[in-house]
Amino acid sequence: MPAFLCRYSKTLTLAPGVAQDVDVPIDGARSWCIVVKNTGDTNDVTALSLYRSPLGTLFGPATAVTAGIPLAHGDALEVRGEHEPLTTLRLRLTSTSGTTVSLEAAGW
Amino acid sequence: MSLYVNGTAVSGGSGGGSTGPVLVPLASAASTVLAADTALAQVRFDPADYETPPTSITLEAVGSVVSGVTGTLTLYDLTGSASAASLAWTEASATRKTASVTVPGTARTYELRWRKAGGGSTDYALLGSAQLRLGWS
Repeated sequence: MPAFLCRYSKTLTLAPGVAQDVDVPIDGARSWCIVVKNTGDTNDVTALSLYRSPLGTLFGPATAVTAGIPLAHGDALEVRGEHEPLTTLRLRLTSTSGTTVSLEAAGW
Repeated sequence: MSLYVNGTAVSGGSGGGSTGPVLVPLASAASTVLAADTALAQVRFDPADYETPPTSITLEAVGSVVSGVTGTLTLYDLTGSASAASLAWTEASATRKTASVTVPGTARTYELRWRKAGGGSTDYALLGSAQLRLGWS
C-alpha cells in the first residue's frame, strides 16, 4: 500500500443555515479523493463550495458545486483531484435544516 | 489540472461562468382547502455565507388545483415584512412555475405560504414541491 501524503477524516455537525468550513490537508498529493457522506437522518446538505490554497494561507475564490447537491441523508459525494498543486482544499458545507456529515480524504 | 465531483468536472474558482444552479429545498407536497395562508416552511438566506453570492434567486414550484380553484404560493420576507415572490395555479395537472426573487444584500428569513381561493369547501390546491434556485452568471 503506497504511503499517503494526504490521510484525513472528520465528522461535523452542520447547524441549520450556517456554512461551515473543513480544511482538508491535501499536502501536495498529486491524486486525491475526498468522500463526504451525509450521516443525518432527515435533512440534506444544500450547498458545497470549494476553495483552493497553494500553501494553506491564501484561499482562492469559491467553486460552487452542483453535482451531487443537494446531498440527501444517507448519500455520499466524491471530490477528486488530479494534478492540483494544493496544500489545502477548503470545503464549505451548508445544510438549510441542519445535519451531520462525515468526511474521509486520501491522496498520494 | 482536474477537479471532479461525482465524476463531473468542475470549473476553476471564478464563482461564475458555467457554474450551475444550487437548489435550496423549501417544502415537499402539501395540499390546502383553506383560504387563509398556511406556513409551510421558514428558511434563512445569508449572502455572506458565499464567497461569491449568487446573482439570481428563483422561487420554483410544482402545483395543481381542483377545477375552479386558484392556489397561491407566496414567499414572504419576514425580515422586510413584504412579499418577495408569488405564484398562482389554476391548472388541474402538475405544472412548474417560477418567479424571480431579489437577491438580498443582508441575511433574510423567508416564510413559504400556501392558500386557495374559489371552489367548494373540500376542493383543494396541491403544492408538489417548492425550492429556491440560486444562480451565478
